[in-house]
Amino acid sequence: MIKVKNLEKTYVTKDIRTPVLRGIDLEVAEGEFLGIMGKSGAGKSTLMYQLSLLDHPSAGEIIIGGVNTEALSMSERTAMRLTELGYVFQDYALIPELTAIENIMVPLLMQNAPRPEAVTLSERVLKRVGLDHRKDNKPSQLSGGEQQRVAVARAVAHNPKILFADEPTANLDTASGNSVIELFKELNRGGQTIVMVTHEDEYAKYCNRIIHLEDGKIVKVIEQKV
Amino acid sequence: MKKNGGVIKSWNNFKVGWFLAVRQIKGSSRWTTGLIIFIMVLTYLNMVVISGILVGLIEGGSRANREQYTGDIIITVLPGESEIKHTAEIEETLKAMPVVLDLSVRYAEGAEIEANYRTRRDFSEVRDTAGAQIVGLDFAEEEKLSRLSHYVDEGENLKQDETGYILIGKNLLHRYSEAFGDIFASLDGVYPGDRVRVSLQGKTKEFVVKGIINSKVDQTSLRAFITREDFFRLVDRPSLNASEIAIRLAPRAVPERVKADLLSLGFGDYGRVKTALEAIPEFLNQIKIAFSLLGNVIGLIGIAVASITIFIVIFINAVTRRKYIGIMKGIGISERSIEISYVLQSLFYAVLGGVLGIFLVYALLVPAFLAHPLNFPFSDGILVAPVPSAAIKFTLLLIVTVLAGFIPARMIVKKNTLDSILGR
Repeated sequence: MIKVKNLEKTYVTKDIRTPVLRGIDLEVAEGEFLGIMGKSGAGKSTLMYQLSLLDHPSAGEIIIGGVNTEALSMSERTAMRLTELGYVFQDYALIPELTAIENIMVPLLMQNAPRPEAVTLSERVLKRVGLDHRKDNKPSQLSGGEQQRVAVARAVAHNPKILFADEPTANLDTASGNSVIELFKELNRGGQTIVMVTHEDEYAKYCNRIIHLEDGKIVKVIEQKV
Repeated sequence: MKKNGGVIKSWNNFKVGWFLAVRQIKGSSRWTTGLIIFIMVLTYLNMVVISGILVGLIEGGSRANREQYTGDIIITVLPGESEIKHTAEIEETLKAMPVVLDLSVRYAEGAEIEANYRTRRDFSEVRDTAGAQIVGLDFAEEEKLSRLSHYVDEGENLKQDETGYILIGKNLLHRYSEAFGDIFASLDGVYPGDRVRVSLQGKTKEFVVKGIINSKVDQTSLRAFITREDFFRLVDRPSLNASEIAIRLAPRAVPERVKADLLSLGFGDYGRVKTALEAIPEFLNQIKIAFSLLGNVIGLIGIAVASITIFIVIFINAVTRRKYIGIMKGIGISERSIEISYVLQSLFYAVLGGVLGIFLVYALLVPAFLAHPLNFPFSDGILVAPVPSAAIKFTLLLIVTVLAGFIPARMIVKKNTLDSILGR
């Protein structure tokens, strides 16, 4: 599903070069639930930004579904993010003036789904995350856990090949965090490939495989049965 | 096929842009939205009303000139001639033309009017006189053409069968013309019932002032009017040929076309045939052009202010929402859709402001100015807002607003997606 070859990312500010990723080689299989862990500054989020095409690496290749993403134009990368990837951000990242269902509908409409179909699909996925009764609420009217579940619903509504999640439980209380992780597990059981950055061991235990980053390198890989 | 795909993509971008724009507008503060729309209304009014009033000052004068003096077409004496030859035949032909509603055949001569001669005790004093044109009229036909009686401010209008009476234009009287300084030689203290002497061609006749005509049209306010019969008693004219013939046309008649018809009938050999527009003094046309330019400059300043306002509003909106713009881009919403959403928001403000402005102009201001014109010394100023010009200004407002909305949106949307999401 994802092949990463010798991935490097260096931030350059004036004359200061800060290497964050140093030669990452990685493969993510279809249906895998991969956890990325590491201390603060280890490069976890940076790696995910590269994998999820939100940023360009300084060197190396990222191949998703057989496509070398570095060869894609800006609009092709945007189209790939829209159709093949899904995102769950740490701070939910819902559009404040849109209701829960509208937040889910926007990417579907962007994919040219007819409006009734987008509504039906969004309602279905909201029901799946247990928030169909909150569909007309705006983010400000939802709790953090509910917002994150809406974000998950938005990320998976279009059935992406890969779901990326950047510390999705970081801003949630334990109960809400658990419900989001349970949701991820359920999705993964259904065959959804998930790449999740986390620093919490109790949530990492749900992953099939965990890679530990340190100073921009993979220092440990843990395979586990879930 | 590719072209078709492009169209679908563009339509999809528009649909998503629309979806986002509607919700952003709904979600924005009503006060802010109201304020922006109010600015747009003021901008549109500034574009249309300022130039409209400036032009209207002159247009009001032109309209009054047409209504009170020239009619739609006027035939005057050819240069070097003293009368319109074949007046009777011309009059007969005109009356037979279906497009001619009314006409007034006028006879005019330069004369001297003297007042206060009865109370003048010291004959070494300068006589109280004023030079003026004396015009002989058929008051019935003049009334149809120019509604002269409406402008009789003091006293009464003259009737056709009355003799020995005169109507005097207000600018021949000191109490009306003093506002103009000394540019008019004027008569002191002449009121209805007073007697004046009219002298021309060596003959003098006394008239009783029947009324004072208060008009802002010089051709009316600087003349004195008597009946046609009195005129011919006073003036030695070898013929009944007139000095001017004012013609009122049917409402849908085109003056230029009728003028061409009259010229083709040979009227041009006996008199100068001019439309009301051509009969306006050239300086008035020059002022009209200058005022129009001035109004447009003021309007352009207004539109610049409005475009800056929209720019700032959209820019601040986009900057404060930069994170969400980044997220939208991150989840695959096209840049074009996001830009369209901002452009549509700008358009919403401009369309609503413009439509409200149009409503105010045509439903309120134009009728109000017509009912209560601005009182200027040389005209009754009205608001001139021709529909094509108002439409062009509305379009201009939309175009400028679209640009003012697009540029800041583009500036923010173009920023790096990840930097926007992370607020870097």
